[in-house]
Amino acid sequence: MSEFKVKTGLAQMLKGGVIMDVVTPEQAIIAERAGACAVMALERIPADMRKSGQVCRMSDPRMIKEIMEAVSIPVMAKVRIGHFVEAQILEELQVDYIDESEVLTPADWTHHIEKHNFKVPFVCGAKDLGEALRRINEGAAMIRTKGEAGTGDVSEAVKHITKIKAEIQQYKENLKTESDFAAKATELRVPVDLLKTTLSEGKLPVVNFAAGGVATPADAALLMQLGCEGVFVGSGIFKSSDPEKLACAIVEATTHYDNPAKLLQISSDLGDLMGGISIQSINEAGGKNGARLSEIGW
Amino acid sequence: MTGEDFKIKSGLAQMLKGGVIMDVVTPEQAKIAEKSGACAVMALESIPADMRKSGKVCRMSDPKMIKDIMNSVSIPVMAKVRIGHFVEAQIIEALEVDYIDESEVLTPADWTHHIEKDKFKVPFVCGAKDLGEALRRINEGAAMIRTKGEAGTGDVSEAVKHIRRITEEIKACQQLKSEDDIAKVAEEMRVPVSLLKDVLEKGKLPVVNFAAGGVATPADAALLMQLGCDGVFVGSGIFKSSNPVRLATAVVEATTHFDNPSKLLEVSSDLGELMGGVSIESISHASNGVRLSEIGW
Repeated sequence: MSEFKVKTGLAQMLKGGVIMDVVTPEQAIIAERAGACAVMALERIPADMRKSGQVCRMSDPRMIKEIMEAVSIPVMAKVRIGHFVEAQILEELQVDYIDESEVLTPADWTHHIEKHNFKVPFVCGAKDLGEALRRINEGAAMIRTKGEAGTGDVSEAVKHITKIKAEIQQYKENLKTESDFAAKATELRVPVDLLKTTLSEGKLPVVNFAAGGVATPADAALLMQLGCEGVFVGSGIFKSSDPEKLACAIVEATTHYDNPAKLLQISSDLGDLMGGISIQSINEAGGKNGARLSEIGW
Repeated sequence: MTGEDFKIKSGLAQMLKGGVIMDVVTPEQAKIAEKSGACAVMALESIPADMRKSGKVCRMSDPKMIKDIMNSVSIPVMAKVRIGHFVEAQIIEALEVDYIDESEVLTPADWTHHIEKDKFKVPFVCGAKDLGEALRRINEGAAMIRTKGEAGTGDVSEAVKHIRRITEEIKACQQLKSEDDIAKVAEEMRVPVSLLKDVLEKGKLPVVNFAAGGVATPADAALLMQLGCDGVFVGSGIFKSSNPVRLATAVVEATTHFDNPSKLLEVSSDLGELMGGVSIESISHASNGVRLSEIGW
């Protein structure tokens, strides 16, 4: 468990920061210069993956390596849900964090990776408290919302962080006896101790970041005000007309998330933002625009 | 089944253990596979990714084409026949291929009966997505089992599901206490009690069990090996990639060194464009054809 403390402690260092998806060393340098606390090295950004309908896998380690060499901030990379060999490979590459991500095509529809078996810290997505605690119980050192990556629609991320907070509040009030706790822990499929710690602290035992659909400084500040401890930005930045400016603005907004005057200043004159695709239209298209990513993982 | 024959046939299949079997459609591809270290090749007229798209009836390949491939390499050559089409199997046996795959990738010729494989001298490989299916095939004489992952998709998750399920079912059945319980499960699975007992005693199938369907990267091959497969079939993945020679070698290396992360990192780097594929989820929604793992029983 002490190793788990080291890993969650590492993730604590990202608190208040912005992690940006990048597909080239050039983009990684822009992200670093804009003040990103880490970058996520990808072959393609989620907005393009969604469109393709193809199988999405771990990126070429050579490409990740080039990004690692281009910047001095931590580099994260994604593996498929349950693909523990992709994780072994990225650990060997010495990336700083691994994201076991629903954005890629799952390799196992029943088992997530046993993350306690690794030295490298993992981040995982969660849309409710049970999912967050199951991932933490498997060894995740960091949680993020499972907003709809590649859409530029912030509403799912908002839903997930609100839900987790509401559940913590509700269980805190309603669970009284030992048997209440035990029953809820069984229902959520997590150890009762983990549930108790979470409820007594009133928050998850690891950092919880916003991810999926964040496209503007106002989106980032919204999620921070809702209780997120940092922000992942994917397609939003490099699908906009002035990535450098937008990247800086989102970093500023995440830092000064409760300062409206500052938010007004940095939200002005950002050029064309990511067009995106609304979540409603994904639902209406009945799968034609790809499935809902937040439905993947359990 | 005649015990001696089965021993010889399943022993032959044991020799492929730890190896990679590659789908090839031309003698040139077969040579690439051999040079990359494949332990056998599967001779096909078109690879599963293209068959899926065509929506046509898929049958045994032209024996002349299989013969050309047999003449071009010295490693064992396998060929596919339709489920239940024992005459295709007779023809392929007469051609003297090394193994026959009674395959759900082709259009089934009989939706009730699989081929009585113990009537043949040539060893058969068959797909199975759970323990019952594996034991039924072995009982019919299959000398080798493989998962029934979704061929032609490049999505490894079905193959993962099948190998995990077989392993879990063996474990669960090992908890059975009484003779009666075992007899009941055997009846449910429609297999002889003695076969089931043998499996439970050894904790594994009495024949080799390979991974097949959706394997597209060295990491996929190593994943399935770590999950307990004895070797790997690679289909569309290799020759749908931008650099087949390099990928073929990498998959062979990854299958050999499946639990060595530094080796896996080395062989996974700089492989070029991999097979794009089609995710299994999108098959469920769309017009990309039916799920192959639903074929066969």
